[in-house]
Amino acid sequence: MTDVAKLQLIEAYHHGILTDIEQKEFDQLMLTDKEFAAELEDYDFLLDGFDMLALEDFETNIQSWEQKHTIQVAELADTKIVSIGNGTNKARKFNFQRFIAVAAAIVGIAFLPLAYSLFFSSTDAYNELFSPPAPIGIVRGGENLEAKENAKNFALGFYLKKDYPRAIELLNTYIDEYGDKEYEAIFFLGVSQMTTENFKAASMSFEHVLEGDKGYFAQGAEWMLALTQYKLGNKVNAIRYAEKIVADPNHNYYNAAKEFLTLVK
Amino acid sequence: MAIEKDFKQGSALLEAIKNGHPKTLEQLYDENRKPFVVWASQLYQCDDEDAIEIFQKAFTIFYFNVKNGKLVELTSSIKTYLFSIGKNLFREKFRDKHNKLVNIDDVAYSATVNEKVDTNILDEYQKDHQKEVVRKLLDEIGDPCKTLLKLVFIHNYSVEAVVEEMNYSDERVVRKRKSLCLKKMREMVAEKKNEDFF
Repeated sequence: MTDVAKLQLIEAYHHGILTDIEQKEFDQLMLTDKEFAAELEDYDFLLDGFDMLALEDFETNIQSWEQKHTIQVAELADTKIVSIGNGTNKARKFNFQRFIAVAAAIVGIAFLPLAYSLFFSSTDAYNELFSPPAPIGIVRGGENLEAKENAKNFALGFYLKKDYPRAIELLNTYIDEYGDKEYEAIFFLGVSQMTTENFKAASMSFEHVLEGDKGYFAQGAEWMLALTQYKLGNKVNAIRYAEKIVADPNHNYYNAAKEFLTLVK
Repeated sequence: MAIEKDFKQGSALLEAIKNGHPKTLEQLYDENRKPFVVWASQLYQCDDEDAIEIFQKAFTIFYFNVKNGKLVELTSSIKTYLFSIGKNLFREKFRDKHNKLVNIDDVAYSATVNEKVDTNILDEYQKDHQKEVVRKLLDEIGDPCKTLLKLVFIHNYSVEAVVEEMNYSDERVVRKRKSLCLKKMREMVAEKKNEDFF
């Protein structure tokens, strides 16, 4: 047996994935090759060490992915917290509130309104302003409706029930079936993706709506793009979309965009 | 689009993970993190920090099962798989916390749990020691062995990817070089043993 083949066998043994044939070869080697047991012990030691280094490397990756989530939350919170730390946003918010409460107690009740206004001026722009819009004109259970309309209504029914993962699944099926010009479906797919925090996918959905639709859903898509870009950390893009909305006083999201700009600028 | 939709077949997705595609893993992590935390917080009444910790463990176990060839085919979605591991990790966590016996069936799924993430302290100590020895040996062996072994064993590159990364002529060369490099490391281990390094 070549060294390469022997090593493959040892690796499979190490990971516990020997096939029946390999197991027989392995047993045979253990019986006939005096050196094999020693080789196995040494390579097992090395492979264990490599596994641990791989685990260390993977944990570093996980921490960097996790930090991205933490940074997004921290940016949105837009508070005066500087350190990211290990805690969740929930924990940090709690500590910050407690800090304000303690500070207010120390400086006296007269300063409480000031502390309160300081805290609540640091508003989370996204959580403050994002709210999934209701679909318009869903007709339920209409026997006379076409299959296409029924399929869309069925999917949007889950959206209304806030079962967004199911809505995403069904809206994707609907779009696959009826084409990429179904802007209403794509718009609500995007909003559902926002609720499940898949902002990249949501952004793509809204960009697609903007490319094709010129009406109600295009306006909604512009607004949602401002929010998704903000969540993705692209503040400049977010502001650009919001400013475009504010330039049109008749825009459906004029007031929301105006408030958004006040909060993030 | 969800990443599982991008990869029409589950096996293609597992192959991408096995070949160490960092973007694929990152997207899977991002897609499953929130649903897992919501699910865990509701079902186990834990706070977000605990839920994230368990999610990270479950995700690590999932990755190593794919990497080591223990998970080659998906019979359910990755989300379901992660939640199943998470369920067992929560049970183990509560068992440790309350020091209660649990039904053996409850932990049967733990067979999927890779022993590399066991929390036995002595075991961990031994593995930490092995890790540091291998790290030191890698530094001593130098390039190209160091790069080759790191790509294969730590970053989980496929043989094809190593050919491309290190400009080797073909996959046979990579397998041969890998075998020679490990052999060299083994000799170094033997020398260290003689020097009472261990």
